[in-house]
Amino acid sequence: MSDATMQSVGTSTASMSRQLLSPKHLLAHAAIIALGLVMLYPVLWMISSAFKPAQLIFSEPGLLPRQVTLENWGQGWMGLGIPFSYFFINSAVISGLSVVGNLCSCSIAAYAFARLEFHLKPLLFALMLGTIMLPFQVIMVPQYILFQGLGWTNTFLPLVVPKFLAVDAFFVFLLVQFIRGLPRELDDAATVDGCGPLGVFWRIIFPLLRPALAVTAVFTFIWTWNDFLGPLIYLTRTENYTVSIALNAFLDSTGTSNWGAMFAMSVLSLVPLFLVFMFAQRQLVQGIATTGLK
Amino acid sequence: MRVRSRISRREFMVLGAAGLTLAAGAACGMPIPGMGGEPKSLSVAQWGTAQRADLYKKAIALFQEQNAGVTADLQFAELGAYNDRLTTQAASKSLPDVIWMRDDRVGRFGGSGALLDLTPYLDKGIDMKGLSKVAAADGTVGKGVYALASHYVGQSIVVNAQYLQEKGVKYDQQVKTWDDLAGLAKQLSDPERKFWGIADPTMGTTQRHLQAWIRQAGEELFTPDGQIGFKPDTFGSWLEFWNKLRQANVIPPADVQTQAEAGSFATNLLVQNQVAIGAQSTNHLTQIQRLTQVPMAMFSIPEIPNSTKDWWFFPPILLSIAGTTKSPHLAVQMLDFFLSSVPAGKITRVDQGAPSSAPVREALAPDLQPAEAAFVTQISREMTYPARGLPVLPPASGAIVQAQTDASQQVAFGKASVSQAVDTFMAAAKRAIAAS
Repeated sequence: MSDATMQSVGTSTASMSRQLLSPKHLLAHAAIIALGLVMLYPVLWMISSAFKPAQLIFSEPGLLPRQVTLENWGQGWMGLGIPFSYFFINSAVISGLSVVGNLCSCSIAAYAFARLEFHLKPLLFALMLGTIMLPFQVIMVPQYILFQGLGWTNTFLPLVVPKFLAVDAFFVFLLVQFIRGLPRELDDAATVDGCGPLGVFWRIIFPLLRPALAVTAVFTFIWTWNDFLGPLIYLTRTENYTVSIALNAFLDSTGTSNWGAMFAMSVLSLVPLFLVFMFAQRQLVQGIATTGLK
Repeated sequence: MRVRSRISRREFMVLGAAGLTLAAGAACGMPIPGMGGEPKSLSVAQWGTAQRADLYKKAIALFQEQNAGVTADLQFAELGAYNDRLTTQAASKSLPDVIWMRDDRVGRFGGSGALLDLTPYLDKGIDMKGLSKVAAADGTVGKGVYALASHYVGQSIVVNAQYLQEKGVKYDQQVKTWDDLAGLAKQLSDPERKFWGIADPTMGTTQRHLQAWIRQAGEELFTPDGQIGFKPDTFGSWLEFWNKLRQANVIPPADVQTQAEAGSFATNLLVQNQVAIGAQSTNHLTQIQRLTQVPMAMFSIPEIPNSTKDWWFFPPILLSIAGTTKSPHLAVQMLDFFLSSVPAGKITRVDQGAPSSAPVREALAPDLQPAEAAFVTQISREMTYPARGLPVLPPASGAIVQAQTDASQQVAFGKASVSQAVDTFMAAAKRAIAAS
């Protein structure tokens, strides 16, 4: 490297360091760190409370417990008479299958809306979008009647099968927007090479959908993992409970809730979500940026 | 006239399809005219924690032992979640066979046909002899009895017995009226060390002590046709009573009381030793005593001047059968088991309240913990007092009780005067009734 280049690199590094140490920059970082701590505080409080005896959780709300106990973890793990791992497995199965279902069905539905032409496409697209505006409470009862008639209550089927039928219009729309951003020339090139619509989807569109599919997968997992009302009405046997229902079972508004046990198991229930975020964060950020989901 | 001796292919297909349908129906357990027998399995639902569920699973196991070949499973959830699930199941006509519910649900479910009318089974399958006089009345909607009371809770005043003893107070001699209670609470208050005479009952979620105040005034929460049954002035006098105590620092400030309500019994002000007296449901004494070493004592609610004599009431815990149950006779047997069986009562004890059946209460008495015995004894004693019937709570009752709490909080936090809060409440109540 020439002396002039090295000098310009050195100058630019020095100027960047001065910029980083500038009061404006330091203030911005301090503000963001403070905001981050404020947002983290409830989680830290929950972790701290998981190690406190029941009588101190609300009477000593500080982060550092005066007394530490591991009782809450034991009580929480076996609190419902069966190991809490059952509920983790149930939630993992439902969430995993939901992710697979959404990835397969929403991508195909989105491809159809984005690339294919068929009768009544605008009307069907509008109807599909319209379903986003329907609150779950509106369709809860007719849906329950349908699944009850099929004999699917107290199974995972009502929670999983609809995911294979592209019912999550939010993700269909998200993927439609992404596909519309892909150049049509790729489709044309594949068509010229002899691909039909399914071939174009599988060989061209689907591989390019990776960032949007990552967003779909992560949000499907999180929303399904945290879903409460659906599992509440369909799953009535304890051994079929998901994590969210099991956590709710520690509470009793008419009696004494086992807060310590609930907080302990809540801490554990955050771990899968944290891991999903950790492994998928790069894809997630890329997906959010390219789909316009903000 | 020529008579056809052969059937056509179409007629043959129709007959064959009908036959197949009948056979499928038999295989699915559908009742077929002329064939008896109902399925020997039941689903049972109640609210509560896993600990309560364990007790009732043991009782169900006993029922299964006593009825060979019968299976039953229990579904439970926390109360709010339980009501959501129950409402969905009722709307889809698929309620569990045997259901516990609170009194704010029976009006809606009984009136809509979701529950089985138990009238034909009273004293013919359900032993009514040992039950409370009002056990059937509590579950009567229109002309039918859709639920029976399995347990009762009551309203009470719970005091820090140790503190009162140190102060030389004899509660039952000093307190007969609400004004006496206010005077005593003022005497016991020490706001400088954040200790108040009495907790504020106006911020709670059930408002049962307000209901007592209203009934003492000769009025009711609701009329038989589901309208508001009390005067605005009656509600206003209740809010004004507590507001004066708040201004005199005899009851905790609104933020302290709200925080105390948030954490269930762990943050109860009696448990935290921040008040000398609390207005509680009777069965809460056991929860409170479990969480504090300080001995507590329980007394009846005081009265307003010129109170009616028959104001006493006991919110029932109701047991019902689904209207769509495929096993009505078996469900009735189980209902009777939970109502009147002493062995079942010894398993489930007083977890839901004082058993409605006097023989069960008597059988349990020797084994009860002191706090449990105190509230069962109080309810048994108060049940001998005159008590006019409670009107069935209308579908809007939940929203109206919430509106009462909201109005109370408005006054407590200084956001509205008493008269403004009452006006707001009356408007909200009318809207809730119109919407229901």
